[in-house]
Amino acid sequence: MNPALLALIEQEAPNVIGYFKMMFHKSNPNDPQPTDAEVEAAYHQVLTDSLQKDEAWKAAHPQ
Amino acid sequence: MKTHSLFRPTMLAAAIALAVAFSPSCAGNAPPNLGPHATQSWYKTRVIKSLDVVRDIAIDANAQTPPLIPTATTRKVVNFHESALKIIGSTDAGWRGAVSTGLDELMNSLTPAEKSQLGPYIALVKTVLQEVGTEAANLPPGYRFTLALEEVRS
Repeated sequence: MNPALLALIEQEAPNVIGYFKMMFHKSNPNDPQPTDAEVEAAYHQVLTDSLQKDEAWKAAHPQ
Repeated sequence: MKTHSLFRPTMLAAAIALAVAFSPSCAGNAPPNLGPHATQSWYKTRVIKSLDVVRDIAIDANAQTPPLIPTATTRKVVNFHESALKIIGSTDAGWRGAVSTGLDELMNSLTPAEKSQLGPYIALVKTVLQEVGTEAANLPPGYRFTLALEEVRS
């Protein structure tokens, strides 16, 4: 098999597995629900981390 | 090209996983205990994560030797992603439409070969956006009115 394809599969496999875990995850109504503050904090963290990855890629690949 | 045809099985598997994972029946609605603003943040987080998948696939494919996606195309995707996140982060109203339009523009800027590579992921983000839009329509009437008012003003 193409080594590049193998490397890509290796990189992407955790994501795909994560999606399947999410797919089969059953939330229990008795589980504690996230609070507004937790959701807001998670959102801002995801937004910040994601923008940092864009910046890092662009810094590594200047035009 | 051979690398492109080899790339497709991986893309197909990931696309199927994404389609199922982000489908309305599996992803679920925001927890009912959340306030209107936190509910918006919940939906925004889901859209950001789906946009991250498009960006990460492009970056990972570009990092292969030889690159499976050209650097110029990856730059288009990263620039779009960054703009989309800044729009999402800056407003509670109108961001779905803006991101959806941006996705259309990104698709139109791609070559046919690039569309066949990234198109399924872009289509999935649009599906998530539509789903989130439908769920947002179920927000309390007062909050929907506030959002509509903000949209008219913007």
